[in-house]
Amino acid sequence: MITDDDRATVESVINGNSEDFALLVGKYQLRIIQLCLKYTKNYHDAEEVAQESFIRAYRSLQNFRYDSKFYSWLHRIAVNCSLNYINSKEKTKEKETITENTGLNDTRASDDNPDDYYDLEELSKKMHKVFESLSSELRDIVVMSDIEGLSYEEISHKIDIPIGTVRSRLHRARDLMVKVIKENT
Amino acid sequence: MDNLKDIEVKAIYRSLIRNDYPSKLRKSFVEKVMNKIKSSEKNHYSHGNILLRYASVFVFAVLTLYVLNYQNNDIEYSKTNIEITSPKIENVVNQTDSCENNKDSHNKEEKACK
Repeated sequence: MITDDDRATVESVINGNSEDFALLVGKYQLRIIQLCLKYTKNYHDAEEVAQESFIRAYRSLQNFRYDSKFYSWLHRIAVNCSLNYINSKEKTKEKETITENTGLNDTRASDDNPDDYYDLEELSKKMHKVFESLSSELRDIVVMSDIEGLSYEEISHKIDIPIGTVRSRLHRARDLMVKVIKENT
Repeated sequence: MDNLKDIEVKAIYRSLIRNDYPSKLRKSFVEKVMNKIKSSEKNHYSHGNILLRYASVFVFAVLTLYVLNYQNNDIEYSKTNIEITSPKIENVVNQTDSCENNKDSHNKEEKACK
């Protein structure tokens, strides 16, 4: 069995607290939408497929056996949903070719209100400005931990400082960058 | 839900720092998913209710048919005529009032009877 940060939340949902599923959606929404986007090549379709993936995951959560991490399981569901989307889109294209019905374009993008969305490009620029303003000590630790995925212990060995220092520096750097996100969301 | 907000912010931070993010994110994405889940659960229960109704109608019909058949099969008709041997009891007195008999003929007598 694999240790999983999400285990408690998953168990809570299975035990009837369906509202807790929102925590899992909130945590993985960006990663799943980004994954679906690689297949759909279109944000609106990616959002639809991601939504379908979360709903499917919720419905089959009783079958989740903890033999992998919750995210790995969710990732597989999202890949399957994306492949189904591609298949159904190909079928629709075939039908459109037969009936020569090319006048129906996707109007969803033009109906959207920009206020309904977080502009992540803009947010990224603001956050990276803060990142660039950090001292090199803090920046290195952020890169090692949050980009390269090293553990506190590995960072501690690599740059020869105590684990406590790694933790406090990382905490300080993250606080500054998360503050920008909080202010803009 | 503050906890949800914190989780969302951390998720955004993680994606932005790794430069692996879509250009935008719907603010109400979580809400949208949860509403879909709730409505699909409601539909599931209402389908269950309809099934329950059909099932109860079916059970009632089967029971009614069974009871009707049971009654028809078990009736034993008598092969002989039933004779009542007990003496006749006349509860009604067959005598009529003299006043009633003469009702139409004499109005005066009728009044007197009353």
